[in-house]
Amino acid sequence: MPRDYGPHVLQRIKWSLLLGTALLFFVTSFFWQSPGEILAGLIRINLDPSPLITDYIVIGGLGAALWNSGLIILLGCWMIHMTRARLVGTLMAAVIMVAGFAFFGTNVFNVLPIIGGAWLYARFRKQRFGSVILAAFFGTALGPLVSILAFDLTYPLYISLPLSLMVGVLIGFATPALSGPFLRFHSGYTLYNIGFVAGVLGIISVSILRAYGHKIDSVSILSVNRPWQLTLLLIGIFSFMTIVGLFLNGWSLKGYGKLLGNSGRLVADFDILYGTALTLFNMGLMGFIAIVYVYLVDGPMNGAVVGGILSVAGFAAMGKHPRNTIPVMLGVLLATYTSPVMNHSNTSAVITALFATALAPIAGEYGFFAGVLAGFLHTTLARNVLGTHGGVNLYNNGFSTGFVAAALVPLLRTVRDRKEDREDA
Amino acid sequence: MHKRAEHITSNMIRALTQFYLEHHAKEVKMQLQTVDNSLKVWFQGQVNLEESEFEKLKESLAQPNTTDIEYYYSELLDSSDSADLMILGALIDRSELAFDDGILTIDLWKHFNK
Repeated sequence: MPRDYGPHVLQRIKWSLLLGTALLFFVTSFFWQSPGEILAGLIRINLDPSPLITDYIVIGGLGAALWNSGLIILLGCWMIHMTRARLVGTLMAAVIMVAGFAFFGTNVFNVLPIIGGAWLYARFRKQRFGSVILAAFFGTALGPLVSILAFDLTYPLYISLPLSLMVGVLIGFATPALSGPFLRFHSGYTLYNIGFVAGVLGIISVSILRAYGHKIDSVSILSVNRPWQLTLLLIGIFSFMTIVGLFLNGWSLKGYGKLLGNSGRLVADFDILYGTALTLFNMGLMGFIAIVYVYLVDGPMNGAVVGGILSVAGFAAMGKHPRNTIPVMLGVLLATYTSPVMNHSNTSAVITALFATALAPIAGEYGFFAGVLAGFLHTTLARNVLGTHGGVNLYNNGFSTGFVAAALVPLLRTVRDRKEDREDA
Repeated sequence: MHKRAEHITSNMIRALTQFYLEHHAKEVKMQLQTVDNSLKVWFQGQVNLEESEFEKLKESLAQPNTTDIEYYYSELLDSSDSADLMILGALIDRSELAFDDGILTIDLWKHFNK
């Protein structure tokens, strides 16, 4: 029988998970690099332009990449603590996702101005910062824009640095303002809504830069290895989630069927709806499913893939579960297997499959085949939207899923409405 | 009420109206009261609703409150899925529902923070 733990105990468990992950990253980093190498690596990471896809394991080394991610987790925890927000599923998803992107594009230097901009927005609107904290977290998707402006243009540093900080603040200010209204475009059928917002802001920013002769392009700086130690680290985190979840639920899966019945459409905060126990279990399980996928398609385990796996696990607190994500992943697999120009085992295809699970609500609401179709369409589209923002938006897949959801959902709804009208007649 | 609260209120009304229309209401009565930053909404109308659907509605409107994200997610209230009422439930402070002789009455209360 599941025991009824008080909210304080559950809050502490969730805080322990986040802080424990950061601590685990810090401690294990020394297996790969010395403190001096980690520091040098962290400096290289923070000074790198970091357009999509820049693997921080290549730039700074695995130890430095782990420290970078750990520092981002601590920053996220500090923000939640300062705003006195309750640590619920949406915030856990946000912190874990941003921590994942700290393996390929997000660093302390490029997130701070964006978070500062969101804080200014809250001050400007006379709102609490807590009310825009999600937009502040996810707005960091445009971190590479800040880094590119600071370190990749031909301007001297005394111009490029203030310019990059100013643009970062502007992006941070605009993101909360746009994030709500942009939800209407896809009606909440992509979980990465701010990826869509960031894509639009990225296109506008890059268009301005290109109009003034700057060349902004995505890159592919990637490790192709699959270090077993990194897999083991992830297995450790997901095992902790799964075991603690099961323990809190009285070593049973009672209530999990109800969670699986949720479509996942925004805003499905599983922690609020179904409790911390089942949410942690679901996060661990989804993390394992993501790892299994990577191994099944013989993909690499580099920074981008680790980021993708963490985002799947993080959003298992906010909409993703096996029933609504597996059809989408199968859709991606179908596209990458049948296309003569795609390779299902390269980084691009693997992270497309992992991030495509943002379309889980389509499978959850409209069924298995709709999910497969969404995954298939997303795979073809994600490749083409990357060039529009030149890799300044880390949530390129989120951007693409916005279009897929906006195009697909009205059609699926039309079919369903007609079916319901017939039944009513 | 401040502008943001007005915007969320209109989205809430739209979602409730949609729900009644989807359940074949021919006539819907609505009353809206605002005092400072607090809101009370009353809806009443004859609908085609199964008892199980009524229970689901009660459950949807009894979601734990998530005011931190109310401005962000209230935008989803204007689309036409029944799942929207789960979002509505997450935005409000309290709800009371009655379903007698086919007449569905919904009372909602909400206080808007700054």
